[in-house]
Amino acid sequence: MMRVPNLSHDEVDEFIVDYFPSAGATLLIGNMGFSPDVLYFPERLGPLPNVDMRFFHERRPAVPPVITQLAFEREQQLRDLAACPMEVIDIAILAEDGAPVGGRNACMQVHQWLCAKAYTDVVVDATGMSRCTAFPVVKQLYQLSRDTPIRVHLLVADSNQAFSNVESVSNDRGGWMHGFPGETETDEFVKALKLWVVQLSEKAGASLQTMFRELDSPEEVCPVLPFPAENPRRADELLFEHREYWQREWFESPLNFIRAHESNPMDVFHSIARLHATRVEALTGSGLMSQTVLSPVGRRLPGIGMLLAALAYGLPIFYLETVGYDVYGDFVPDVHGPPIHRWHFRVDKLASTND
Amino acid sequence: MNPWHKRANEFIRDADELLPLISPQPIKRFFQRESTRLFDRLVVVVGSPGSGKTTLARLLELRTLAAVPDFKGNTDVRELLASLAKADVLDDLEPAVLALRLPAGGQLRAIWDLPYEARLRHRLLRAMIEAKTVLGWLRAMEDVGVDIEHVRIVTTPNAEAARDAVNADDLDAFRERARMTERAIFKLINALVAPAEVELGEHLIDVAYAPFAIIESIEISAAWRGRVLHLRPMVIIDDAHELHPTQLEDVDIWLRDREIKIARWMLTRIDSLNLEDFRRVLRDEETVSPGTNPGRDRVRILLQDTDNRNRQAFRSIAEDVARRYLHPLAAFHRRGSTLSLKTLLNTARPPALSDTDLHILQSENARLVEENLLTSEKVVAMEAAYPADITPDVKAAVTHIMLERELKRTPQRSLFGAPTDDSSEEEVSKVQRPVVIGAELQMLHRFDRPFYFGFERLADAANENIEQFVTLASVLVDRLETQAIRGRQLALDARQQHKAVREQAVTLIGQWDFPYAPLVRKLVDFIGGRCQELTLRPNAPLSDGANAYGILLSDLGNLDSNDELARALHYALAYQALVLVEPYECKGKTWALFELGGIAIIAKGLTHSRGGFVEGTLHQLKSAVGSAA
Repeated sequence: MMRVPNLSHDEVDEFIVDYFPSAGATLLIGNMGFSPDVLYFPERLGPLPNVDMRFFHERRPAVPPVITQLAFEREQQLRDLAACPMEVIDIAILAEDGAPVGGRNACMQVHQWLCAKAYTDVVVDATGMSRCTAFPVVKQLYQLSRDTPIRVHLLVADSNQAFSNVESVSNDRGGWMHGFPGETETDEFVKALKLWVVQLSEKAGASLQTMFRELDSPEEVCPVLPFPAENPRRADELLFEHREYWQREWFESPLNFIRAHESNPMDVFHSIARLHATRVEALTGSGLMSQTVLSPVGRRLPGIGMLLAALAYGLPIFYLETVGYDVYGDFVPDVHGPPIHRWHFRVDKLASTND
Repeated sequence: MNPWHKRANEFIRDADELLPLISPQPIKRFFQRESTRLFDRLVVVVGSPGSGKTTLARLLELRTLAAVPDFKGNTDVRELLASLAKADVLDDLEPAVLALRLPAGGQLRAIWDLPYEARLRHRLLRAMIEAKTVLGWLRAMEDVGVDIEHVRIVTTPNAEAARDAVNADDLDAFRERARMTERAIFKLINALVAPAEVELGEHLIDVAYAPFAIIESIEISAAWRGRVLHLRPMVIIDDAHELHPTQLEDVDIWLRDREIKIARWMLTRIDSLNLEDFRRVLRDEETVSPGTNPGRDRVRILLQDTDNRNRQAFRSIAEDVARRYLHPLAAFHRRGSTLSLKTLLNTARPPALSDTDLHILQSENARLVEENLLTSEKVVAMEAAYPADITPDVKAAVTHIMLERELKRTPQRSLFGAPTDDSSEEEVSKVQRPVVIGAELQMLHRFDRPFYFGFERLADAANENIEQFVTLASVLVDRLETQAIRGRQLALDARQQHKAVREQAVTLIGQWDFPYAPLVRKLVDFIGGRCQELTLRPNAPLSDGANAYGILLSDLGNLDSNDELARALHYALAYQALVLVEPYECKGKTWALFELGGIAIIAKGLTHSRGGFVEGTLHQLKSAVGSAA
């Protein structure tokens, strides 16, 4: 069984206060997002003299100016609290022809930052970061930590829907996330049975259908439903919203619903780990190969659970890139205090318990 | 299995299920058009989603062709098989082609993002395509029961060294060599940080792989089907528009080389072409005809609604498709094999305005008669010239239009005065279908009188795209299926048909999920709104109204391809939200028409006939979607 040391909620704040002031040279990688949560961890780490803050500014073509404006305001706020000179680098998420290149660009940039200076600790603040940049970077650092003594921290803060009238616009074609390719692309594994673990999310119908089709009708589909959840009926509502898919479009593939905590990545991680292990065991010796494919869609925290599972078991991730945002009505962030959910993971210590 | 909901034949895995569903006419037309030139040079097939490209590719796959003998006596499939035999795809019911459909998805595109010189990236892409194709051929053969031991790769003469390099003599080694190349490039593509070019060194040896240059045919021994088969190897690069434009250019140059002996096609959506290219292809299409330019090393075929569309031909295809798709539905089995969607929909009685509404129209007509200083006898005489089959309410609406037109005329041009000049004679005899349609549309908007019913209107709304037809018709089939299950009589009246189809159209537009969809919806709303205004004018100046926005062709030339409007139009055309008709000659000028797609036309309540358009400018279009001028 794979494990990863983790902390949640107030423990995270305590840990930050205890650990980082006396840590070595630390690199904090974040993104210039538009959510107010984006400031939470930098506020605590930025003022420390041993912390270098480096930010991506994810660039997409179809982003309303009001969102870009907000990102610039965040930048200003961050510069004001940084102890050491801060860098903000534009990361193009899409190439000129629309192909997703964010992950590759982000990894290249991180590589450059790591070459420029030796760090003992690297912190990835995935709070305002898209999956397409956060996940590859975390994997890159995870791989690095297998060969070097570097310590890798993953931080996430989330308060559930900071902006209820902003919707992300998905690409019309899917692909493997950079660094998480499907082995089924190669001849040896093309016949492997695909087990598709997909996070069900509001208004994601068309995206789900696109992915199902592009994965060439996976042999088994495991939708992940959020339960327990703040709205106890959320799982039922999602099932109802997507009934056309699981009742009709996908019905030729066996369905296996997983319920995992809406805001506990560890619950998602364990659920997937169990599912994957059971599958592998069931098929051992049968001559059949199987591949578990993950698709995080919608809220951030369950996606983090998928990331951890992907790292732990070498699983591929299939997704649709976000190409822009639509803002409906006035752009007014919901008023709220500090983020309720805070998580910390020591990614470099992701290991089997038998070690 | 309900083909009306499967939406794309891609989902139908079983060749036995697929073959009966394919309508033979489009296939026949496709192969007839180019016959001799489809397998000896590069063929680029351009079409919107659902236009039939992928079905064509699926048809040519070995797993489909290998199933053909099972259909020997089957009348449903006979015509299709005859077309395939004529095109040399089948040889006496056995496959004559070994085709591999290779989706040009993300992995191939990702090669372009590697931090290497362009030439190296092109080499990597070519090697990857070749490796994947070869591996696909081997898998395809094994999937239909061929033992690789019984396969022989026939190469061009004097190619011994190249033959050795790919291990063509030993099929297992042949496969392993291809796998090595695929694995090596796969690793490069998916490394989180790609190794620098200088570090590649030995890697590049694995990547030197070029079997296309030497393979001529694939021979399968008699052990498989009782006689030796010679298959022409073929690669079909599907969704070629997913490659980077520079990659596409290189692949185009590479595959145009007539030294390559395998058959090669590229299937692409318009996305791969910017507006300029697309328009060039549209014009190209008109010059491709048998006997011209025999030396061409590339053939481009457009499978899409263009200005030379044939409504009648598509209506019969739609009818055929409907019949085939109804067949698998168990609920209808007891209703007999002569079930026809066309008949079911066309037996609906024409709708009629309520008495109140009819009265309103008639009173307005009476008032107009007075204003025009006419007598009711003259009006009756005029009405006698209308087409014979129109119902009283339509008659009243047409009269309404004619009277409004009369109001705008000078006495000399009156419809009712002495026929002094020829033009007024023409006018009277011009009370034909278009004006009747215009009247019906006006009643739709004014009184909610159903318009979209009957099989023909459904077929016309499909923009010659089978998938679009199926998507629209599916809501009607669903309702009929429910009636069948409940043991009721199968019937949908005009209002039920109209309502179902209109709601479906609105839903589909709301579901548009491609990039720039919100902008495209705005475009459609803008154009639709202007067309509605024109259609609803009491004197119906364009008879059946408008369904397009026309700008001068010269004006279109001013559109910068990097403009947001250009990108939005790109996707609008690719997904048939709009159809580009150009050049269109009218009133002594040359226009480019942005015609609304069939689904948008239904949603906005407009005519399907081509030609009626609202005059406008590029600048107005840009303002309408809110992009910077």
